[in-house]
Amino acid sequence: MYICLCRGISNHDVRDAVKDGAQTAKCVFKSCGKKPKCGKCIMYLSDCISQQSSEPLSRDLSLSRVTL
Amino acid sequence: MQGDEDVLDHLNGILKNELTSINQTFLHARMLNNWGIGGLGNRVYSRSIRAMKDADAVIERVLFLEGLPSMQELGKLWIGQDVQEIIDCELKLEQANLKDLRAAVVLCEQKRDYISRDDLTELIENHEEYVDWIEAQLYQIDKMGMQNYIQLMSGKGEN
Repeated sequence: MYICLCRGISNHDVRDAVKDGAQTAKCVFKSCGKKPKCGKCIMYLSDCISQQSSEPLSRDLSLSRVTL
Repeated sequence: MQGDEDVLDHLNGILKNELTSINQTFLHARMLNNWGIGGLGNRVYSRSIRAMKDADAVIERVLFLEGLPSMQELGKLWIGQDVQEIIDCELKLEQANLKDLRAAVVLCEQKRDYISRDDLTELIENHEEYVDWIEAQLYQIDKMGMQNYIQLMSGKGEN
């Protein structure tokens, strides 16, 4: 699932970025080699990061855990 | 005719949801067609057009109540990367929209705006129909497996 539509960053990209040590939305963008555009995704991106960080063994970020 | 401020706020909230829905479902429909899953793409495309007509009804009602339809606001789009994710994203959005619609119906009832209430009730009917269809797809995927489901839905998009 795409978290950032402007830059095409998916939950899988966030997972990989967190594995590489990213802890903030800014770090995730940097890890993906992209820059934020509209900023609408920052809140959801932060949620994803905290979920990934709290469960480092989780292989995937299921949609049910991302609140609307 | 001057409408109630709270009712207008809620109607604009519903309009925002419908505009979000149009964009999300339209992109999903085109993605599905691009992947050659036109059977599914056609149904999602129909929902996008339905959402557009729903948005039109809300816009007309807001203007009738002498409010200004807020066309600028758009919610977060949940875009899936495969068929399962697309169906999940559609369900999530619809469930959130239904929650807002029901809250808006209750408010219209309290404010005795029975016409807005009836308009919104019709929207609920459309959304529930779509949720029911999505749930049927999830049931089919569960029973026949994703590969068979995709084969069943494969084909050229008609729209």
